[in-house]
Amino acid sequence: MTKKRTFLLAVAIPLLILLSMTIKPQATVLFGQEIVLETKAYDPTDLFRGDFVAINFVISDVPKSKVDLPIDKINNKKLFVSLKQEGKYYVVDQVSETKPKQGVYLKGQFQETYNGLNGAGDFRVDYSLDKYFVEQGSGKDLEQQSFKGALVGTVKVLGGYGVLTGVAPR
Amino acid sequence: MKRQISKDKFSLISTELEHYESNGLITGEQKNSILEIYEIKGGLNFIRVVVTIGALLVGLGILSFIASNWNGISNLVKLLIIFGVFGGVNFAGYMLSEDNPKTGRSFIYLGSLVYGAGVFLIGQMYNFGGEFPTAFLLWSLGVLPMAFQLKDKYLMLFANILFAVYLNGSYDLGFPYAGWVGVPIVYLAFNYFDKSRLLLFFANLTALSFIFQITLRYEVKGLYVASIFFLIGLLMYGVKHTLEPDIFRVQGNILLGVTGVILTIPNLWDIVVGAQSTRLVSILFALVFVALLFVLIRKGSLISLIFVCVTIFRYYTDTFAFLPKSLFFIVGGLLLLGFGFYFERMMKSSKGGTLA
Repeated sequence: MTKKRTFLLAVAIPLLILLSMTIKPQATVLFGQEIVLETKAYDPTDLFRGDFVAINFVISDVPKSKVDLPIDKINNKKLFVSLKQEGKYYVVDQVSETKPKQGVYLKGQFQETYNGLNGAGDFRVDYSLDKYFVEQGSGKDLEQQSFKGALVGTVKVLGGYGVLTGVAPR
Repeated sequence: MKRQISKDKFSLISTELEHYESNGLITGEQKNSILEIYEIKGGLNFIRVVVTIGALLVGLGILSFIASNWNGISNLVKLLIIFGVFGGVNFAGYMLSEDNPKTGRSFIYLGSLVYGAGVFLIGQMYNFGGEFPTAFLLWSLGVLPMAFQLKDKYLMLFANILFAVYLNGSYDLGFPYAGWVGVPIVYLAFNYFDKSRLLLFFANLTALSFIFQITLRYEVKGLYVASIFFLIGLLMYGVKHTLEPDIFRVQGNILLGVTGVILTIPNLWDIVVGAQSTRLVSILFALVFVALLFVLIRKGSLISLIFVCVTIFRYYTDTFAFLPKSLFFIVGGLLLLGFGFYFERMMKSSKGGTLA
C-alpha cells in the first residue's frame, strides 16, 4: 500500500468508529417503541459532555418480590426487565434471565441494595439511561421542576436497548 | 554515525575531559577526538512546541464547544461539522507534511482531539448513561491508526494514556476485556516506535493498571493484591536484563516502596493471622521491609531512602501512645546510629570501599 493510501485509511478508521457508534442508538430512535417513565432529576456536569440532568427512574428500583432467581444469578448480572403500561407510565412487570418473547423490555445490570431495618432491600438496576444532556445552564429549570413534582422521561426501546430521548415536567 | 547524547551529558563529558587534560592525563588532541564522536541530541524544538500548543488549544476549544451543548445548531449539524473539521485538518496535515512538517504534524494532532470531541458528541446526542469510560477506549482506538501510520511516538503516547484512562475508569462497566489486546499492543508499539523509553515507561504503567483491574474484578483480598505488586516491584527492580533496565528499576523501586508501606497496615493481615496478632505480623513485615530498603540504599537507590522516611513517618502518626512510641523510636534511632558508627570505623580501618 502506498503512503497516501495508508494515510487515508488512518483518517477513515476513526470516522468509521464514530459512525458505527451511532448505528444502535439511531436505529432505536428511528424504529424503537416509545415509552414514558416516571423520574426524578438533579443537575451535575461532565467534563467532556457538559451539563446533564441525572435521571433516577422509578423502574430502576426493582422490589425483590419481582425477581424469581437465586441471588448469585442476580447481583452484577445483566437481566431483562419486562415492562407493562399502567395508566400513562410503564412499570416493572417481571425480571427474566432470557430475552422475553414479546412486550417491552429493557436490559439492565442488577445490584442488591440493603434496607437498614429488615435487611430486605431491593435491587438497583442500571439501564445506562441515567443522564440527559442539556445546554449549559439550562439543567437548573428541570431540577427545580423535579423538586415540585416528578418529571417524566421518554425512552425509545428496541430489543432491550433504550435511548433516552426526552425529559419534561409531568 | 555520531553517538547522540543529551546536552547535559555532553557538557558533563566535556568538563570532565577538560579536567583530565589539565591534569595531564590526556592531551588536547585526545580530548577533541573523544568529543568528536558525540553529537547533541535534538531537544525541544521551539516551533514544534508553539504549533503543538496551538493545536492543543484549538482542540480543547472544540471539546469544550461540544460539552457546552449549545442549542443554536442541531446535533446532526454538529456531527457533520466534526466530520468536516476532522477530514479538513487531516487533509491539511497531509498537504503541509512536505513543506511545513511541524505545522502539518500539529494539524494531525488537532485531528485526534477533534475525533475525541466526536466521540463525546455522540455520547451526548443519544444520552449514553453511566460513566462512559468506553469513550476513552474508542478515542484511543481512533488515534492508533494515525500513530502507526506516521510512526509518531507522541500520538502513540496519547493513545496509550487514553487507554489507561479507560482501564482505570471502567470499574462499573464489567471486566475491561480490551486489556488483553491493548496491553500487548502498547508493548508492540514500543518495539515498533524505535524502542522509545517514554513509550516503555507508559506501557509498563498500563500493564500494571490492567493487572490491578484483574485483581479488583476477581475480588482478590487487599493483602494479596499488595503482596502481588510488592513481588512485581521486586522482580522489576531485581531481574537483570538488557531492555532499558533503568526504567524497570525506577518503576520497580517505586512500586515495591508504595506496596511495602501499604503492607505495614495491620488490618490487611487479618485474613492470614488472628485479629490479635495482625499488629505483630505487620511490624515484623515493616522491619524486614526497612532492612530491605537499607540494602537497596547501600546499592545506591535514593528512592528507597524516601520510603524509609515514609515508613518512619507512618509509624510516628500511627498511634497516640506516646511513651511506647518514644521508647521504640529512641531505641531504633540509637541502633542505627550505632551501626553507622561501627561501619564508618570499619571502613576507615580497612582504608577502602564506599557506601554508595
